[in-house]
Amino acid sequence: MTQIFRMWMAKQRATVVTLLIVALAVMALFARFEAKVAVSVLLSGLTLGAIYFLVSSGLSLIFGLMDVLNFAHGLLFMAGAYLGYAFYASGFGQALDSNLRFAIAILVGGASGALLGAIMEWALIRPLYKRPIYQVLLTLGLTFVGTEIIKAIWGTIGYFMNIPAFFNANTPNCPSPSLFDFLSDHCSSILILGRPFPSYRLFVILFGVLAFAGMMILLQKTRIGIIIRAGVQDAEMVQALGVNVRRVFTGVFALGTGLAGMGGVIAAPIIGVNLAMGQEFLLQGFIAVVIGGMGSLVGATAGALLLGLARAIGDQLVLGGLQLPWMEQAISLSLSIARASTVLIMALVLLLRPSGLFGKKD
Amino acid sequence: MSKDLLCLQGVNTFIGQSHILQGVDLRVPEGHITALLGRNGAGKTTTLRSIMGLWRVRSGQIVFDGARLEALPTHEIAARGLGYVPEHRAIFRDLSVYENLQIAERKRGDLERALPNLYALFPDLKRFEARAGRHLSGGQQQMLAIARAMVAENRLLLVDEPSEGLAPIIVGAIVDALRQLKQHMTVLLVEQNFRMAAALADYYCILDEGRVVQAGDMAELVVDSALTARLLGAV
Repeated sequence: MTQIFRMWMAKQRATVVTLLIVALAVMALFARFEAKVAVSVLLSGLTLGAIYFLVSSGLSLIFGLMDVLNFAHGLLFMAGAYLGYAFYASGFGQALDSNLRFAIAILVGGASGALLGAIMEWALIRPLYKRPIYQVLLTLGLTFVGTEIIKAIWGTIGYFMNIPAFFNANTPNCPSPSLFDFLSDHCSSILILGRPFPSYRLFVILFGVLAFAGMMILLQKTRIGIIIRAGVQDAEMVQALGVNVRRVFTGVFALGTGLAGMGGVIAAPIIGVNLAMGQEFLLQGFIAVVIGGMGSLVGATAGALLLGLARAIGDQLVLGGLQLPWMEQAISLSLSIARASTVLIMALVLLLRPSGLFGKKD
Repeated sequence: MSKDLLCLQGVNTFIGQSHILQGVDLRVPEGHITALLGRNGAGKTTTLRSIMGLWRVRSGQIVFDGARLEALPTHEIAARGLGYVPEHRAIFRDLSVYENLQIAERKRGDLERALPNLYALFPDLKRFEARAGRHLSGGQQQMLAIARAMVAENRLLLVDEPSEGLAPIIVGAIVDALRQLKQHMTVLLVEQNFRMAAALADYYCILDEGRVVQAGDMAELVVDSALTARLLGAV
């Protein structure tokens, strides 16, 4: 029995450690704040985590299969948001119902991210597979060029994308008393333990969960998934079995950047569409990947979840201050410290486990 | 001698600045096992990798069943009917035994058709079908690597050092499996273990410093201990 438990622990160590960290964070949250505030912070963390996941999953897959550190991933997140917004604000988009318009904008963001990613991999990165330093320079350079192109087309001002009508009703019955009621009244917020929480953010969490489930099904249950997992381990051998690995590389690159493009549109009603969004989410995406372990989708998910929670708890501490038992007065924290918390987590994970929580690659 | 399924003519391969294969000429007759022998560093593995397109050939010809291979990408070479069992097996450690076999399918139904045969040949693979590759023993990994190369309808199998690092009893099982394979496949076998090569192969080819120095019938080599000692060292 002990032997079985030991084997199980050895296999699931990373999962157990991640769950333990999350449990500790949640316990600390409930100890410090009222339950309704703690739940609200938790859900905000999951919302951020879902958006980070859409960026980090692609980064992780691309690095895992191709050993490419794609610094242009943030650009594609931003380009997806801008192109999705362009459709959303266009005459054609305006003629549609806002829900359909938003759904199509998500598809436009995803498709444009995938297409730009595929072109980038095929035309620019493919000749540099054996030169990792050049890839870094190239993808960094593309970020600057792409940002300037976006600036030239849309200017330097930011845009706001409205939340679709399905999540945006403001009737006297609002906020919705429950999820069930929300399905009929579509209020912009739902009461959770008596405190309103934006319904759109719950949709973002659901979208993240569905994206994760879809990716897991793709990787675990389909032939292409088996090829991708095998390719992460030994791309040369996959080729020697008759699989066109180059084509798989392009497909995975497009899948990763497509998810990022979709993520840009999903995030737009929360953070707006602006020139800073790419860099901000690229950095957080990389931190999530490093925490979770390069090349592991589950790791990228765990990393994104931890980062989202850390940011949400940090933001709440900025609002309420940090009160420790021996202090008479709470210390007020700046927003920069809340932001730095994610980097601190990364540093801690790297110190304790250099390959990340679920990582196998250095 | 039957018709040649694979023929290398004047093949030169470089790895970086090193000139590894220096005009290799090699013939692999159809329906037989040909052993590629030689000391460490003679160029045996490079020859197999050059055939598979994993190292690019700088000059020379590689002809398989009448068609030139040297300019094709690896996946197209494999698709022509070449199976490859590399040195150190290269099984996918995080994939289950079944998934390791599944990935080798080239046409839908390949695995279903091949599976009964493979499981009859290597019963351990059936027993551990759901087990991850990394949890298999060295011998089981070797069996999986050979089975994987047999899933698609290959005509030629390139097998690199199948006995490396295995216990004698496992080597015996691998020899039996390769002997059965010979009935429906042509094999080019790289092997350091001369006894194993001699037990299996019909023909041999000896490489030394990237050149073929001797080739012929294995039966003749086996009885010529002076020649084997000179070309292969103590065997």
